[in-house]
Amino acid sequence: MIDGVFARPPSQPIAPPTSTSTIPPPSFPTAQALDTIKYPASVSDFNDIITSSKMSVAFFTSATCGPCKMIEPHYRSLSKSRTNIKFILVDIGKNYALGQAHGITATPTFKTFLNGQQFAEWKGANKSALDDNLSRLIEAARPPLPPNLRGHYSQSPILFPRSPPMEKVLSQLPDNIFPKPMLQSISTFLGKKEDTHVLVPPLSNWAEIQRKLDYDLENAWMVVDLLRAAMSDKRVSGWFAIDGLSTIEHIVKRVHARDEKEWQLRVVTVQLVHPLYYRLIIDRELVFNAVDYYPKFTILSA
Amino acid sequence: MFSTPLTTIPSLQSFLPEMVELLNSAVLATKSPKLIKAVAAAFFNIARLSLEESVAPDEDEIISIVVALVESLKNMRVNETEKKDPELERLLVVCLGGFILLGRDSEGTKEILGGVEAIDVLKGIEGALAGEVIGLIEGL
Repeated sequence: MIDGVFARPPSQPIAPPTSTSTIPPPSFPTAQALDTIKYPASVSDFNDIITSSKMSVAFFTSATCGPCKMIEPHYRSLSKSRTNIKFILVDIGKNYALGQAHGITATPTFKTFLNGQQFAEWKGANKSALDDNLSRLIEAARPPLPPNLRGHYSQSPILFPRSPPMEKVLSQLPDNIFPKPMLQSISTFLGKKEDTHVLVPPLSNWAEIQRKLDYDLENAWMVVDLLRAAMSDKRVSGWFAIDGLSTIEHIVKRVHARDEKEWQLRVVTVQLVHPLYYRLIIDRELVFNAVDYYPKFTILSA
Repeated sequence: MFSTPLTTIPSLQSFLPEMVELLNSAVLATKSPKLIKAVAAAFFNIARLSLEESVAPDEDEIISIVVALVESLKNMRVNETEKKDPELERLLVVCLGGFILLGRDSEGTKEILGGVEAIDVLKGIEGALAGEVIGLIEGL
């Protein structure tokens, strides 16, 4: 008996479904808007998914499988953070043909696929095994790097964390961009960025100001530069990497449409995007539990 | 403890084309070392994240980046009057190597590397790194 595997007793054979034309997603409590998991309705659908993606993983589950319910939230969280992999979920009770086609005799069973070919298969509701197998899949898909290049690419992302001289910025910043308390908050924050006790300025307000900004203004680049400097703080870049990504997108698109000669605006815009490449070393639950994750950032940026 | 990238190439996809165009036009049009360094750093970060996640940007983006990087290296060698910046040159070669690997399955990338005479440009650069990237092109 494999640890953690919920084997279906012989007295409860998997019953063929009455219809396989539409397989509704299982009833999970998480928001469907965030659901990136694929639910193939047929063997053909399944094959289309795994051949259209370089890397994919399939989770074969069933309604009566207790261990499956334990690992489901982790699987769902991974599907949100590992967007380079297609996540598939098959309820073999509802989709008998798919379970049969893949030789599923117990749940949970997981399979990974690389370029449409099966890469690994394992059974059991083991979070570490799931994490490790996904890491191995990504590793296998990675092109082999020659030694010198490997040395360079093992380094950290290149960032531009320097804060601008606030006195100069405040004297040259276009008028009426920021409400005074907001500007004061930004100035205090950028002046003491290394101090994690200093509150982050209200980020949703800041994002809104950036989205409304008229980039025709003289010294508009300074407004982008303030955000660029703030982004070197992980609380700020973390928020913009998730909740504020549309604002970054807006800035890039607006600056892209501007005259190429406005090189200062271009420099700070290019530098603005860099901190999004941060790899945050944070607690697993903080990353993978979106319910926890958002309030914590909201508190930090309040 | 566990580490994961908050931003992934798919999540940047919504504005990656504009970002790449912004970077390409900047690196081709400017002589500002500050802007070229910022652009090269952005290319490095994109390549690094793509390699780490084993997911490549679209072929068109890879091709345009490869062209911009090779042209930028050419410009650095042509402008003899300007002060040499070996570190920036090395970074551009690292970026070029990264995007060649990411585009290794693309016929378009192979063709464009021949068209822009990438090997000739790299032969003019000293060091093992440029040799390694030449090896990658020859191995395509």
